[in-house]
Amino acid sequence: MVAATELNLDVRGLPPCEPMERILAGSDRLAPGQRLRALVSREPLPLFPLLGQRGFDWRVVALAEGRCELLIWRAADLQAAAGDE
Amino acid sequence: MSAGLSLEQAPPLSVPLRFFLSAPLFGLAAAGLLLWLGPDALASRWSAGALALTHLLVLGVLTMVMCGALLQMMPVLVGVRVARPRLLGTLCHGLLLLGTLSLASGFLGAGREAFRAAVALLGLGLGGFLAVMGLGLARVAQMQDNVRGMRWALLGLALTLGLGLLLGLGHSDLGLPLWRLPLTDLHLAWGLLGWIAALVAVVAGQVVPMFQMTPPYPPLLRRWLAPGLFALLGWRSLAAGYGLPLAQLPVLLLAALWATFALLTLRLLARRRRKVGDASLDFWRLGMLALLLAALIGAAALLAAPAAAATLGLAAALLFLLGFALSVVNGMLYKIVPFLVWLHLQQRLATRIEVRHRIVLPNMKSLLPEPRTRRQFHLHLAALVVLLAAVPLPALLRPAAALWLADFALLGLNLLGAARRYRAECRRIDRHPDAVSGSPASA
Repeated sequence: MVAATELNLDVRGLPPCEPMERILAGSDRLAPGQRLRALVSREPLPLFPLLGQRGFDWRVVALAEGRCELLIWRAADLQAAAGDE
Repeated sequence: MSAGLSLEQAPPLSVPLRFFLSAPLFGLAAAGLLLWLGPDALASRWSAGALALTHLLVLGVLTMVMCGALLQMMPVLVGVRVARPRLLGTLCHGLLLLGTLSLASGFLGAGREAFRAAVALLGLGLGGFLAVMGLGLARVAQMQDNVRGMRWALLGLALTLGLGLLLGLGHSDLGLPLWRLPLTDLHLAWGLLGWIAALVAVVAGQVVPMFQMTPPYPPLLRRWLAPGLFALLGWRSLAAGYGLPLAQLPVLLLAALWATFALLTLRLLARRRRKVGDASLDFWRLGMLALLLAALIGAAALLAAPAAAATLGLAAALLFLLGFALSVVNGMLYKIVPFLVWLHLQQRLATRIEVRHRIVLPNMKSLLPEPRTRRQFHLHLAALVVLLAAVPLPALLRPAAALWLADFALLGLNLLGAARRYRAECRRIDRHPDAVSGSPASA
């Protein structure tokens, strides 16, 4: 299995809804086997249903002080999903 | 994959929008009443005009916005499942609207039938809202500070409603006595502090760091503000009811609590990461400054001679209602409305796969243009300053009322502008040449 490549995005410090806009735009740009790693100031709860509607899966890694890291990949992309395991 | 929230749990945008768009109309009614009654309106807290004005503001404007915002934001931000949100929203809005009108007309001389109708309509509307939201909150598995705080605020609303219904029944001529003095003070204290201020504090914990990009509130405050507030309100209520000694101490402690909250919020706003300000930020700053002044003047009123105490009490009440609560609600609306419009447009676009990559949606900031919101902030500030000047100079009450009329009219127009923009963007998505005809997401 080839390791998934990653697109990195740091959206900390941006006003709403710019972090969500950039993450959605970044997700749309994902190539096969690729996933998006986004660093955000707080868990963007309203983003998740939007990702689900667009056919993405995601995982949230909590960091210190409410910050978190999101890993996002196309739901049907087994290679990108495997990179999460 | 994280347990995500479903936007389907939230009501369509039209549900919160009808609450938000109704609020400025009640504000216009209150300002119109003040203009009509003139200096007599605020001559006594027991005057018919003062009672009608107060309820048009706290029920028609503040509670109206708060119920609409909770219905929409609780599923999106807290994960509360609200059963039948569209039905609940429609019923609650209609009952609150008619109940508030009945109550105001009852105070203005429409008779006992108006009070009876108000008791039934508000009891059903707010009682139903409390039951459904309470049930939703009870089912939330993760006990976060905001969930705990919401429960306290809803308890505050329940107590305020219960006391209000008792007072309303007293006015209804159904054989129940009107325990006016003891019940009114309790109703006022629980309504202003246990419901409005408690909810503002809980919501501030969520929206100030999120929308104003400040550091979070200290965990100690988020955890203990609401229980501390309720303990002090309970102490005050029992001390007043049973004539206990030190009845004024909890009032002074309540003033200290809210002054601390105001100062802390002002400090957080000064430490925000994004240095560019906007009208929403100025509404929050004004709101917190007014809360601080209301707490200080309210405390001074306790220690002042009776004649001065009445004047100071009126100034503190105006600062609290119009300076603090209305400013903060205004500041929240200017963030929540564009946020919800953006979110619902994104949701709508996501369901139209064929045009998803061909349409660029407007960003949140452009949905409510800053020059318009800034203009309304300036009107709001002018209206507040003239109204406060009218406390010692009653001749200024009518000019103040005219400024409040303009303030609420501009707020309504600004919100209507965002709603129209939403409709226009929905049409742009649905009528795009590449769109496949079918049923779009509900508006």
